[in-house]
Amino acid sequence: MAKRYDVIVVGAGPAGAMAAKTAGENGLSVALLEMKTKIPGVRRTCTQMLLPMNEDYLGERTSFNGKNGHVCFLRNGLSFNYTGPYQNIYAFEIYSLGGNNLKFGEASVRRKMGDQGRISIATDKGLLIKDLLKQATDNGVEVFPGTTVTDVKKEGDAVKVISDKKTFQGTFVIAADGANSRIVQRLGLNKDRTYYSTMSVIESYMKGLHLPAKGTVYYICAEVNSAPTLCALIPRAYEGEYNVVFITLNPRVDLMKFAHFIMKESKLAHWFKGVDLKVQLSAVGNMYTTILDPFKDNVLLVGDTIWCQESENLGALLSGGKAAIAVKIALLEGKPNREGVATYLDWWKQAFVDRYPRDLIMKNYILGAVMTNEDMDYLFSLMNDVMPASILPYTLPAHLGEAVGKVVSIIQKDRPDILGKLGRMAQEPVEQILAPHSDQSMANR
Amino acid sequence: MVKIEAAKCTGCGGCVNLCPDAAMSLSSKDVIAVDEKLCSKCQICVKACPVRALSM
Repeated sequence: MAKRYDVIVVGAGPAGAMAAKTAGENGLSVALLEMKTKIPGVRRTCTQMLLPMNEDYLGERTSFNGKNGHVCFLRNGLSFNYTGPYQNIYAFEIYSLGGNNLKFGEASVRRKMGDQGRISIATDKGLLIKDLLKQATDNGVEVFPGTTVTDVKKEGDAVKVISDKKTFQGTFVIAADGANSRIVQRLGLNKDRTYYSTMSVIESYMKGLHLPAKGTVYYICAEVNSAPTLCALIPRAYEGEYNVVFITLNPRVDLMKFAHFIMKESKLAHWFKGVDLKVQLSAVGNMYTTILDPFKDNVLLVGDTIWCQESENLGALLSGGKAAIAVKIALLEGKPNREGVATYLDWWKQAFVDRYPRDLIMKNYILGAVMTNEDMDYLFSLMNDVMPASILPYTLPAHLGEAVGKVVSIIQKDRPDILGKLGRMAQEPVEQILAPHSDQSMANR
Repeated sequence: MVKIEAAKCTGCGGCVNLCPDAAMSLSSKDVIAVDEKLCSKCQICVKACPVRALSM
C-alpha cells in the first residue's frame, strides 16, 4: 500500500513550490512531483518578474524588502524569503515596428521615488524556486523529480495521482502543473472553457543591448500574417542583462524568422547591434478562459492551471499558498471535501471572479490581430502623453483605452478605418478575433 | 515515429501536456522523450514545438 499523503502537489514552479512550502510549514505530509529531473532549472519561458509592485492585484498588496529578501502578501498574511539578486523595474514602453512608442511611466522620473516608484522587480526565478524548495524540504516535504503525471482519479476518500514512475495517494491534490495542465484536462475542466488560440514563445538571455533607458520593460508590438506577434525585452535580476522574448498567438508563425527580422532588419535593429540570438527557453500553451471554480474531486487548482498563461508569478505564489492553507483548515476540521477548502474557493471568487472580466487578459494580445503594423505605427505616433506607470495586464487594456480616448478626434478625422478596428477590439468576442489563428486540434480537452 | 533534435529542444515541456496520448516526458537530460507504444502519431507535438525540434 502506497503512503497516504495529506496533499500531493503536482508541479514545482512558483505556485507548486509555494504550496508545498506552506503545507510543509504547517505540518502536513506533502509529496511534490515535478516532470523535470533538475529542479529548479528554469526551462519554460517566463518574464521572471514579480508584478505588480505598488499596485493592487487580486485584491492583494505585495511587499518586498530588498534588505532581507522577504516577500509578503500583506492582506493574506502569507510570506516567503527570496535570497537571490533583484533589480527594480520602473517603467514600461510599447513600440510599434516603425519605432513610435507609448510610455507607461518614465524610468528616470520613477527611479527618484526609490522603491515606491517601482512597478515590478526582476528576479532570478530559478533561485526563487530554489529558496522555496529549501523552505519546503526543511519542513519534510518529499520531492519527486522526473515524474510526469498522466492521470488523477478520486477513489473513495483519496485521490490517486498516476505518473510515469509510480502511483501516489493523497487526501488532497494541489494541481500546479501550469498552463495546459494535464490534471485539468483529465478532470474534464477544459471542456467548458473557451479556447482562443495557442501561444508560442522563444526566449534568449541577452547582454549588451542598446536600449533607450534602464529599468524599463519594452514591448515591440507587431503582426505577422495578421497574427499578433511581439518581442518583449525585460530586465533580468542581473545588471545589464535582459530576458528577450518572442511571442506569437499563431504557432504557424516562424518565431526564429521573426526574431531575425526584429534583430537584424527592423527599424529597432540598432537595439540589438552586436548581440546574438541563442534560444535558451521556450513555451507553448493554449489560451483559454479562466476557470471560475478551481476545485473538483479533491483537486485544488492553482497558478497557470486556472488562467491561460498570465497568472503572473505573484498570482501563482499567492494561489499556491492560499490553497495549502485551505487544505490545512480542511484537515484540522475533519472536512476533507469542498466545504473544507472553502477559504480557497471564497478567496478565488472575491480575488478574481468578482474583480476581473473573464477575457480581460486577452485584450493585451489582440492589437496585432485587428491592425496592421502601419496602423499601430500611426496610432503610437499620436500617443505622446505618458500613461500611469504600470505593467499589470489586468489594468493595461483600460490604460490603452484611455490613451486612445485622448486622441480619438484626430483618429476620427485622419483614419476612421483605425477607429473601426479599435471598435472591433472593444466589442467583438476575442475568440472571434483570434479564430483565423487558432487550431482546434491543439485544444487539449 | 517522432524524431527529436535534442540540440534544439529546450526542455520546456510544452508538448508533454498537449500530447493527447500522454506519450511524452522529459528525459534525465531534461529533453523530450516519446513513448512510441502510446503515440498515436497525431503530430500535435510537431505543430506545437516553438523551436521546431520535432518532426515525423
